Amino acid sequence: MSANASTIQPSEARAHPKSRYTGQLRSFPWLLIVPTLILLVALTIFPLIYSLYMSFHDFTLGGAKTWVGLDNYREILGSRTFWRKTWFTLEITIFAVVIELALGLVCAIVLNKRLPAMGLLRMIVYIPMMLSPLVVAYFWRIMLDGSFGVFTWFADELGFGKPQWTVDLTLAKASIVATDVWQWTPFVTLLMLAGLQAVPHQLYEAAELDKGTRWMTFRSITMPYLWTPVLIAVLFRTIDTFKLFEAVYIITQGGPGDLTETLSLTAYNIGFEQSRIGMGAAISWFVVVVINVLATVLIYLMARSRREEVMLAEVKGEE
Amino acid sequence: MTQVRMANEMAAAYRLNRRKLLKGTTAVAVAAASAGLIPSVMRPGHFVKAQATLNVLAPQWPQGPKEQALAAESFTPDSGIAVNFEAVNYATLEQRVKLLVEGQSADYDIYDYDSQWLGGFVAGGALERLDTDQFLNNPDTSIKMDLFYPEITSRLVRYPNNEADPSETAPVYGVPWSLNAEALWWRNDLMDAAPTTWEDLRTKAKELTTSDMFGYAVQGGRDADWIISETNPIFWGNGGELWDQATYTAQGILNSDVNKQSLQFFVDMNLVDGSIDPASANWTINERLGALLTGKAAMCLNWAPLFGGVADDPNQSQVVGKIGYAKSPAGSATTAAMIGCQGTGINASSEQKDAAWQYLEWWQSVDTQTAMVQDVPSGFVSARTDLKDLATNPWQTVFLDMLPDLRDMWNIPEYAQLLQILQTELNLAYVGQKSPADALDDAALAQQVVLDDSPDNPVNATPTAG
Repeated sequence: MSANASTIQPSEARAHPKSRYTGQLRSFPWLLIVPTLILLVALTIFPLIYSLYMSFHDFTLGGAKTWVGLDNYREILGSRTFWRKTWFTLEITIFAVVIELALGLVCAIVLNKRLPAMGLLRMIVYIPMMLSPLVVAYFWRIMLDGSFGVFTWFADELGFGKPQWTVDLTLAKASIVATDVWQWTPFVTLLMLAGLQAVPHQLYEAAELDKGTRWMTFRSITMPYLWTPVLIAVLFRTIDTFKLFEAVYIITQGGPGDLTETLSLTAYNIGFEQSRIGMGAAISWFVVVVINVLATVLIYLMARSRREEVMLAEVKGEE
Repeated sequence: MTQVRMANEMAAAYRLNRRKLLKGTTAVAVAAASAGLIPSVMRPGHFVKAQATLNVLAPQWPQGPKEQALAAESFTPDSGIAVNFEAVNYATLEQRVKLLVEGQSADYDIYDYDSQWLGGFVAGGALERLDTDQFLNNPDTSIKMDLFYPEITSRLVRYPNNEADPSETAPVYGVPWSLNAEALWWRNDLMDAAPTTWEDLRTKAKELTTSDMFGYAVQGGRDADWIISETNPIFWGNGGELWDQATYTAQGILNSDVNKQSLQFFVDMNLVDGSIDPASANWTINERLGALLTGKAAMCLNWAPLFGGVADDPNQSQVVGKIGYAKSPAGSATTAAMIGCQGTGINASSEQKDAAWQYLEWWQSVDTQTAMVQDVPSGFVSARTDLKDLATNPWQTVFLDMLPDLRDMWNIPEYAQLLQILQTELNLAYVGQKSPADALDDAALAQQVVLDDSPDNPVNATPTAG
């Protein structure tokens, strides 16, 4: 090794290449992210901001665009019809989510058993949620037809006459809920089953030794593990059902009259059928705000539940 | 010798002229070719874009496939212009055109449109005005407005028009594309004659209703123009109106006593007589026709000639040979038939307007219209008065019989709002959620708000200076 060479410090020797590579390394992640960012801005962020901008305009397709500030929001919030539709949307959401949770729990408990052909049964149970909501809605519309639908035929055969599932207001509401429940209970089941399978088997054995009743075992052992899946299910299903469109559009068309019109269908009717883009955008933003409020509450509850779980685990660990 | 010299001189002059002519023609051809144009075979003296492709946006109508086949057979070989015919779901067509127009798109050269959309399309700048020197006023053009039935052109291609006083002078934005009106389709094996009045129809519907069949079928849904197509002929037939177009007034007109009685009559056929399937409250055109063709209903209003010979096609009908076609029944005041016609116009943003006009000329030519009328699946009647005799099928002749009775609803830009408001209330009355009187009162009130806000309302017209 020459004297000259020995005088050169390793850090100096790498100084030039290091700075170049460091620069490249720094920009490399950005290069990877940029295409996604461009897509995100072009397809999500820009349309979102533009729709907010449109909601402050009186704009009908083919007509002039006039800035009206908060007038569109004032008009919808001051409309009794709008609040009736908001309440109907909430009503459908509450009924559907509660029933989906109850049925999902029952299905999950059944599917958690060690029985023959359980894999096949689970697969069959999950099928509805894999179908397109539009296909499901058409399928149910045909089954619920008050003239030739299979449900109508059954009811007639049983001596109940021919119920008008999609025409009578109460039955129309029930039909919409039933369609949503049929399609999305499997999703709740899937989440609950994951929660059930996370329960350590030793805990059940310990409860059996302590002669715990079924209810006590469920409440003290199973429920704590199900709480998070329940909140996740409630979060996803509430957001999804509050936006419900396909089932209503296909099965009842929002009828009788507009009595089963959800907010999404109202936004569609006003924005697209009537071409009143500004007003349609304002209704959509109202839906976004409501969903965000609901989601924030649920996420807060989930976070609190998670904190309690961690604290419980720490206390158990100390013991 | 002199004759020879004269002949030589003439020959020289001829050669000179021919040379000049060849030079001139070559120069024009070179200029045209450099601009991407070729001589038009169909319009001598005109040029079209070489290898041009016209894009037509149309609803999915039974006549579409035949039109496209004919275009490929005769228009394209003669003109050198290919035609790309895109048929979309009727329910989405209006919005699609409006969105294309908003972006000043030249993707399509020709838009087919429904009569109610005309005001909105004109206001939005979707359609090229055609009564200009370039098109209709060109002495060489083969399309003349007096070729067509005035009952059709006044409602279908002229705007602004007045339904109460159809004008023959308003600006023109299209030519007729498809003609239809709601006729009464009835079972001729169950009745000796078709009912001629609404009262008669109601009586016959009650008589024919059994446990297996309803006397009458309706499309009671509130989407598209379903339920309003059922009630309008009764309103108009009894002397009612939807609005006063001159003053933009709905209050007191839509909810007039005569309209309230007409709606009560219609609702009673469902709720009191039980002669209409109650499930029809959200039926569309498909369920209504299905009920008739499967023998579940004895009568219904339905568009003619749109479905052609569907009732006599054993693959689609269980009542082959048992369906008759009659005019829409009369009310206490007059007979009114709901119009269902479509026009075809040139996209104002098209870069191929001459080629598009050439296509419209071809479309309205005797040969093309004759081929269309004679094609049974197309369910077609020509708007040309000189081809009247070609319509020989009963589902074609009934349309021509109804020409004097044709009525249309609003075609102003706000029509979609007016339509949704009225249909929602009609549907509520139909299922018994509201009384017919309340439903029409509420509809009139809501519609008046829309009409009051319309920039075309005479009250809102900006006063001119001086």
